[in-house]
Amino acid sequence: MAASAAVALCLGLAACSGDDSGGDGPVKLVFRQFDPESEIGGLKTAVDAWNGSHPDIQVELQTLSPNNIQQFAREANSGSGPDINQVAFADVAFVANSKILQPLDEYLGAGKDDLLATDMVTFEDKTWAVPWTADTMALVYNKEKLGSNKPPTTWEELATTAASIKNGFCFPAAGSQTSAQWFAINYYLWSHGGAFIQNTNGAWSTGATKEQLTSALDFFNGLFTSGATSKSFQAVQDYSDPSIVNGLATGDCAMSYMPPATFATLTKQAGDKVTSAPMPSGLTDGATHLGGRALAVNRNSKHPDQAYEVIKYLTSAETFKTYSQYPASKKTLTELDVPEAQKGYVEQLPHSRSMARYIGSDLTVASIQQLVNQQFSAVYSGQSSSADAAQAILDGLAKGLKG
Amino acid sequence: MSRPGRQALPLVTPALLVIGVLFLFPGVYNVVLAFQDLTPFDAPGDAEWAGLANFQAVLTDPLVGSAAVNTVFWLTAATVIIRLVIGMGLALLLHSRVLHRWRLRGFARTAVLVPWMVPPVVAVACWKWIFDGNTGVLNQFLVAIGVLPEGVPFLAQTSTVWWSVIAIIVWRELPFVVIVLLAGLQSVPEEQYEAAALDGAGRWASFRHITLPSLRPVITVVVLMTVIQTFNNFVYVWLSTGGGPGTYTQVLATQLYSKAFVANSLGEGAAIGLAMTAVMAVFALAYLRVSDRGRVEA
Amino acid sequence: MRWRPRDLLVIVPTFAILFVIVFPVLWMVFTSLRPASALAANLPVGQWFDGLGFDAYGRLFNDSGFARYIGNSLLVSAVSTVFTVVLASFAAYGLSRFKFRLRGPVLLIVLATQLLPFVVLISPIYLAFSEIGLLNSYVGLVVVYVAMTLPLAIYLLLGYFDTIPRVLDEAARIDGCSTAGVIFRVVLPIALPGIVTVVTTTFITTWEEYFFASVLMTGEDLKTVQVGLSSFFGEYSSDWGMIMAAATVATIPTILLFSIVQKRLVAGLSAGSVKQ
Repeated sequence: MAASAAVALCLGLAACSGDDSGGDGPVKLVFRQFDPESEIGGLKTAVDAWNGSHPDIQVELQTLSPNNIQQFAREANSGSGPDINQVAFADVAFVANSKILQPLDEYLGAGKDDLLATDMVTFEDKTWAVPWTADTMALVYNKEKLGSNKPPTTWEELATTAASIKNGFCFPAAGSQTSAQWFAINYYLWSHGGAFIQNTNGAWSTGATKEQLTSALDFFNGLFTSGATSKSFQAVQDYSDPSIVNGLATGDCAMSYMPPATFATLTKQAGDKVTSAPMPSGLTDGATHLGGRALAVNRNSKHPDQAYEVIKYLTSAETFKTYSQYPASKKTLTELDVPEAQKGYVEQLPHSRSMARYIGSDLTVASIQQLVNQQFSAVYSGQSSSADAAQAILDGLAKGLKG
Repeated sequence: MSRPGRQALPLVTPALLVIGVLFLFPGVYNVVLAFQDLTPFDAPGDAEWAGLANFQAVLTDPLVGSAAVNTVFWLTAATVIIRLVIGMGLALLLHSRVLHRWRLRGFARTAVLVPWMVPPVVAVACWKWIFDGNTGVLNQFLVAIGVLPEGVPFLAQTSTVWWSVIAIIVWRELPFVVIVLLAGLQSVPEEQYEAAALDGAGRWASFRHITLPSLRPVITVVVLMTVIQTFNNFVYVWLSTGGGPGTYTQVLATQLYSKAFVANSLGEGAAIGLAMTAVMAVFALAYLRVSDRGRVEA
Repeated sequence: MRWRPRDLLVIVPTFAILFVIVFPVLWMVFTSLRPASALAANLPVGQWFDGLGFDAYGRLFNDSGFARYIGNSLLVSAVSTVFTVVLASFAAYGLSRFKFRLRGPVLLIVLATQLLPFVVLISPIYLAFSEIGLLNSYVGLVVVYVAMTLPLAIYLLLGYFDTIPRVLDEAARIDGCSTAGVIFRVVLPIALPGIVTVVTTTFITTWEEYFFASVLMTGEDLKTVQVGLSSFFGEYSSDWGMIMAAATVATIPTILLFSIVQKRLVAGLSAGSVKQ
């Protein structure tokens, strides 16, 4: 009896699991994105608007969060997956091959020149994705707490200003792989003439001297010893952590840095008590990073033409009317009406450079990030001296570059 | 086939089939993968043979050694022992007639299950919030009662980080131990305790000579399963400290993840996985042998 | 009820421990009710309870298909649990009562499955499921969950069955029971606390499972609670009120379910003891 009940259950369930492809109806496309539900209200509105005006091309917005590019690769490699996939700039390099993605040059044509960060989506002379949204980290501060101090324009100024205020500079300083201290560390290093790795005529090597790394380590560790940053931030991994977002809102923290989407959530909570400014040296070309998301077409898509139509719509000014992100298109960006508080981002964006400088070696950007975060954290917690940690970073990078 | 074999076969086969179908092929594949060069972005067919290179890379990584030590002592041994001790105490309390008389038993037993229903991601987020050095409730409390002069970042300093991670794991995983032991306690016949009481045995004596021996098979299973699951666990450390501060809380499972999905070398990840499997297999064999012998003697 | 001072020796420590156990969850629920502006924790205690409300829940249910995800999870977890308990009962009985030659190897195989790191299993399972059409299907996920939870269920039941005297089986056989009859009429009723334990562990293991669900069920209508929940933790996400609301909603069905099971279990046990 148990067995027959089991069979009945299986049959019942099988009936539920549908595969609704086929038929002559409208073209159905799946568009997958990975940003959290709370951030995509405006995107949903834009997709609904498209579906309303295009009965022949219906788009299903699918959210698979957090970002899992490996899942998309797994699906594409086995012949399935969404038609359109949102890909973080840093991940395009991993899926830029014809077994996973459809090259888009035929569609893009000259339109490519208008786009930002094309160096993150072009590999072997083919364009594998269309840059869609752009972001960078700007300095965000509580006006009252910063008081009469001006937002700092160099890292040294930041250290001095922050040290004169309790919790002057709150930043995520955990040692975990994804810890967002990585961005500040790079910004510091870039504005002081270094980089973790560099590519000279196709040959990869480490891009900073031991002295440069030691001084970077001393600088960030100094923020804790001077009291500019409370030790508790050594356990914080994200700029969206409550201790930072709430700290800025209540004035427990004077300054921090975050991407625009997090800043938008912060302003919902803190109103005009917070505002943005360029990062220290943020108006110097290449001293900050240009991140963002791109849109790619799965090579398994049965309707690549229609998929590209949808991409064109998603990258147009139309979509950005409701979707509160910065477009990765120079033209659309200038058409954007930006509130005063976000000026820091808009001023800095034209000077930001993509992470392409780290892409193409045997080391993944994620593993450089892991190594760097670990070693900085080891100095904060007293496990290493800054000289030892600098050496460990150089050794780790050299070992990874050898492959 | 022997008689007991004939009788057992139809009972055991369905379960074995389901398990076998799902695990056999992937299990073998994991072994193959350890000798291959493959990224998570390639189809399995694209793999190239790598010989022993993966094992060599993993074994010469100094981090793997300290991660192994952390995995065995902090992550596994410490949390399992603490879970067993607190779990046994709590199970005895929940089994007590006093709670039954006060009609608090049902409530208490449901309350014990609560942490288990909180998804690990959320559990870690809640605890990180509680542990926060500035605004965490725990720090505010400890400062208010004068134990600490100022807040402490529990998850960022080497002196407290492991104990904090252990607290999170024990909190989240304690319900399993409690409920399994409680079910064991409930199937010990009352008569045995009554007989012992007539013989003048005290509480401790009846716990030692009746309760513990009756729970023996159940405790055996609990220890085995919690050891294996904790040894392989990746979520708690990864989400709470990410292996930090520095590399202080790196464990084998986080190393596996880093190799496979951060450095994009599935082969090196599989090699660590294979080593972990081997360690646990040796442990399980030794453990079962010892506990089976105990069972025969009892 | 008679008041005995000694009762405090049980009640006080029990509730002290229970407080520590429940506090983080209460804190989670509390957080979900606080307005976004009050989430910074440095308010004086007197103002903690100002402006509590269900705003975050409104945002949660307007912005996502959370109700649907809960339905999916309940279905998959319940069906998996039924299959696991039935299959595990048979297997554990066979392993407990018959000392056949392959018993050792069978136990080892069952155990060995627990040793495999799941991250490495996922690709081959995904490929195989995509071949036979079990992706985005309830059946596929149930199969995985049954296989995943069977080993622990078998071992747990084995532990409980071993404590049941064989004399009872033999008495039932003399009364003319078949093997299935012995299992369902004799062994399972006595091992009821054990069965409830296995039901609980299996249900919760499948309810909280994220990894396979996120890989095998990508359709918007097929997501489980954990996959839905994880989509609130993103790179940009800092709406902690909503995250905590989602977590609370994801926790409530299981708490309700188990408070019901708990009552029935207590009732069943006292009935059993009267018979004895």
